[in-house]
Amino acid sequence: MVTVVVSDGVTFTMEQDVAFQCGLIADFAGGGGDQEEPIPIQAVNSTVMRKVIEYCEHHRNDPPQPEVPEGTPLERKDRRGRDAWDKQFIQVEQELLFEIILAANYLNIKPLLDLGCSQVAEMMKGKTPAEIQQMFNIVNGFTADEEAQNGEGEEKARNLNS
Amino acid sequence: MAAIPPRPSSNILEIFPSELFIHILHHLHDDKPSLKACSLVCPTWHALAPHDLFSDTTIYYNSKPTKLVEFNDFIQSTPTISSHIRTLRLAESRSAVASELNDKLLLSILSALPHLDSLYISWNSFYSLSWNPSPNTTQLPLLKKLYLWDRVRDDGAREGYPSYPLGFISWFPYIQTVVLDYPAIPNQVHHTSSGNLPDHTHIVPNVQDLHLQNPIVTPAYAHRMYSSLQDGLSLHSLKSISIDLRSVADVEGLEDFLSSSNLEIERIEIDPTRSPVERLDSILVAMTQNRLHLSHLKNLRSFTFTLQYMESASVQRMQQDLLIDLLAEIDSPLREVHIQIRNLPNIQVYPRFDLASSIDWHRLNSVLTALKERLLDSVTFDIVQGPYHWSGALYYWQKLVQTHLPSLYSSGFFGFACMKDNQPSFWD
Repeated sequence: MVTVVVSDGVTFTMEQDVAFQCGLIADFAGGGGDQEEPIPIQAVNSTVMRKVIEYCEHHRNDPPQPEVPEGTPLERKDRRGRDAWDKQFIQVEQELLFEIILAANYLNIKPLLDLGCSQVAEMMKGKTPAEIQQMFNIVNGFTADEEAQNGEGEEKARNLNS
Repeated sequence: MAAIPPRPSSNILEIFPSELFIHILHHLHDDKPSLKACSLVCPTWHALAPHDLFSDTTIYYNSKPTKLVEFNDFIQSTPTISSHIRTLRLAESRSAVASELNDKLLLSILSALPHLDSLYISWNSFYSLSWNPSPNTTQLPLLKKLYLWDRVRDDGAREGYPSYPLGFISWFPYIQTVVLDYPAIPNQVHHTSSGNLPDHTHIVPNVQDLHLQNPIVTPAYAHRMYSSLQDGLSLHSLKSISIDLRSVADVEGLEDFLSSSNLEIERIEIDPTRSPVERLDSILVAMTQNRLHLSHLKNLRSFTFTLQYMESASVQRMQQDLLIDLLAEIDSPLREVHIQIRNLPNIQVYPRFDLASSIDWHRLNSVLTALKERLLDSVTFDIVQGPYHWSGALYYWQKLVQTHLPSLYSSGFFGFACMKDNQPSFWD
């Protein structure tokens, strides 16, 4: 068993095959037997950690993903794909989604990171720049010159595509 | 311990490091309009989006006579964008009569794309290229993959049809993958009007992966094609070959090719199902009667074969028997077998397809067991999803294998997957 303690002091105990899906925990534990001391995970709170553990428990029996060369298109990389459970799992409030992505990045859980990032990408599909700015509270930081250049680039691209 | 990320806020720019944005944008790789929108959201994303936006670029030309020239001007004047282009597809419009592509223009375009590794040229464009040796002053990218795609349809095996010039080798001596669709290759590769191939002893033959899709169907062409390939490309480095067999002549050409050459092939993919349905039985007979000499391939590690189920039970049976024969013939330390299965029928609708009894399971079991004892790691069944795909096909096939090959099945020897039909396509 592996025990971790998260930023708000809550302790979680997991079986090894669940815990070791997190690259960070596996590195900490050194791949050895039971860990006596709780591993501190200060960048993740208990709400997010519960979600992370839920994900790792669901995928505990998945075969290891093969190493794929850099630059391989994502649809060929992810042989497992997003199953119905994954889709349901990642339907969360935006703030929690961002926290799950950050946690997956920090804990080094690649499939969960892929799942979270693909969900953000899904949210942006078909949206205009203004809609994306509004959705993610982003301020348009282009200068007037840059705006003009963007317009010019658009024009050129339109001509090439016509 | 890894660095602790900042606490989340509602502004995504303050939360995520740039590598996470790159990861997110990568998921939009195939959705250019959304990528374009993202690039206009803010300066940060504007700087990150070009890679996914331009890494795979397609130019349809001839809808406007000067489009390629304009594209050339564009990439020459925007090195920050052109440096992101990894794959370039030049697609001539179907109505085009004459191509505007020529050696000089292509050289100019290529010289502006330093990181290009894949080039696709379609339609008639490559016939207008001479591939004359490029001037030493022109710095060309180190292309890895070249895909020449024609749209000449089947049964058009015409002696007089223009040939693929092989002179591209002089431009890309380190090319590793060559895909020739509907290949028709001249006999005299060194002296064709379009070829101008340098003496092949002076070129560095690095072709490791050769795909011949939809070969030409007359015996003369098949013979010439294979012998020219051998001469012209000097296939000493060839490790992988993928071939569609569309005629008896293709079978004979492949047999000659495999038996006469001293190839170190490690991977072979054979697909006889691209032929017209009425021709498949004659191809299968030819493959059955004349050995494909797979036993000559002493380094063969991976073997892929495609089956297609159809109305005729005898043709179906012939394919299955042929597959087992080919597997039995392999005499190398084979590591993996892929069996692609097209048009697997829904047995509830078409009960006459009695696969349980039509396959010689006993023999298949002994052949696979023998290969497994030698080195074989896995056999993967890929159920090909085509227009008439049966959604229960994968489950049905898995059950069939589980029932008839229980011992191998329980050892985790088999893999099962669905794949999309990989019909030869310019847009593969």
